[in-house]
Amino acid sequence: MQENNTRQSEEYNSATAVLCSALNVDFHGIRVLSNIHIAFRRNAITSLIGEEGSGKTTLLRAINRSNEEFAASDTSGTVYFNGSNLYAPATDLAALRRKIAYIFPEPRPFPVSVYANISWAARFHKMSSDLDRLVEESLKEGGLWDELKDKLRRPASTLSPGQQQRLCIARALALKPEIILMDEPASSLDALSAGRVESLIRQLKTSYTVIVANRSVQRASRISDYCAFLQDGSTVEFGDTGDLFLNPKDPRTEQFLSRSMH
Amino acid sequence: MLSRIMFNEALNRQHHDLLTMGALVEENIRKALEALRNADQALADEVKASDTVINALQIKIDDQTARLLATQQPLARDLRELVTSLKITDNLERIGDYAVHLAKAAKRLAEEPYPRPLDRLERMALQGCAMVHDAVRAYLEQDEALARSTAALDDTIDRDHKAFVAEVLALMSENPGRARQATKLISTSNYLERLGDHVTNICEAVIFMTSGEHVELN
Repeated sequence: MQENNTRQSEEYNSATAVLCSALNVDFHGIRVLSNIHIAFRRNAITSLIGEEGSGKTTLLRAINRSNEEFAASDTSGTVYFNGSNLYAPATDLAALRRKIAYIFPEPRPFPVSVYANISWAARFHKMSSDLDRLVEESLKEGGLWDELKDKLRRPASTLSPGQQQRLCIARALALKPEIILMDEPASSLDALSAGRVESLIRQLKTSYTVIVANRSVQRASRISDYCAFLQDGSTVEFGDTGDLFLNPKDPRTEQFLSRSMH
Repeated sequence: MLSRIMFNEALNRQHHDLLTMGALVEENIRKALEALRNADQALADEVKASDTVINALQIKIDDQTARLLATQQPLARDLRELVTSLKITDNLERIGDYAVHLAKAAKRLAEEPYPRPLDRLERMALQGCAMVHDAVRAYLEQDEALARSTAALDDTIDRDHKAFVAEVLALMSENPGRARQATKLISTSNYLERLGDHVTNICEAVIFMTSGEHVELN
């Protein structure tokens, strides 16, 4: 425990945005995440890679405490963010989820216009009285302004899937988060749209910390600065993406990468 | 697209490093030649020291290439360009080694001067130096025609090499006491002849990069 605390204080410095420490998650009494210890670096993109069922989505949800939406879940350990343990009893979950945004694999725009998708979220969280400006800034940041500036009143459902997903990202950005969690954000998109989302993710790291679960290891290698390889709910290896992809330390990582030809 | 911009920036850095490596190799050939002309032992030592920098640069460039291949999955021409980069650094490093051999020969010849002018050796070294310059330029400018014309100049090095070896052997037969010196001179000429071959390898790699075609120009 002493060693763990020392490690925590060493790792939780100004370069760390989120620190998961001794994190365990059970569903229906079955352990799906086991003793996760990862320091996610600020203003960097970290990919979670691993097979289906390895715990990538569960780990993302553990960071914004959305595993608790499932009644049968039980979490122990700590997630430090901005100096606080997010699992402390007094944590304001709504505020937490504004600061830690979540992007789903399939685009989930609200069934309203492009403009309203962003303005609703902003109004709900009392973000700004100048909604026009907020919508424009968010769409610019999401790389959509030029495409949609003349189509703000169009229903979001009429956009292409790639545009819908970037709209969801722009909507999240309107709330000025610090962390953006993305669960396979490009997996449901065609190659060109996925490429645009990848480009957007790389731009985001200048202002945000991004943690992405990636089914595609090639996508993970292209976009991320750091990679965490998960297997059966545990971290096998974590490190600089170039190092991990070129010269993985653990034979399980080597085996996984050599099998992942997609 | 941003990912393309970032990849291009990484390639630009590669190009810059390769240009530097080529320039260091050229400089070392010239310095070794100068050491040979003037029996300058200090300059010969400088060549050896510079070669360490050249070798370190090869490792740096190759490491960057491997990382790009691992993380960016380049295809088509981008992939050929990175594969070609690996071949070029390998050949440049060997050429750098030959410059060191030339410098070592300079030191030995200073102890026992050769009785005839070493014009042919000098011409081979200068030609090799010019070929290195143009071969690297052909890579950076993706110029297949330049690669082909540069490779063709290897014939002049081969001709000079044959003529020089014949001259040294003739001198040795007249004066058997010069056998050791003759062996060292022939060995030096061999290195310069191989230097030309390595530049030709670079040119072949450039043609593979530009056209996808494997050619044999040696």
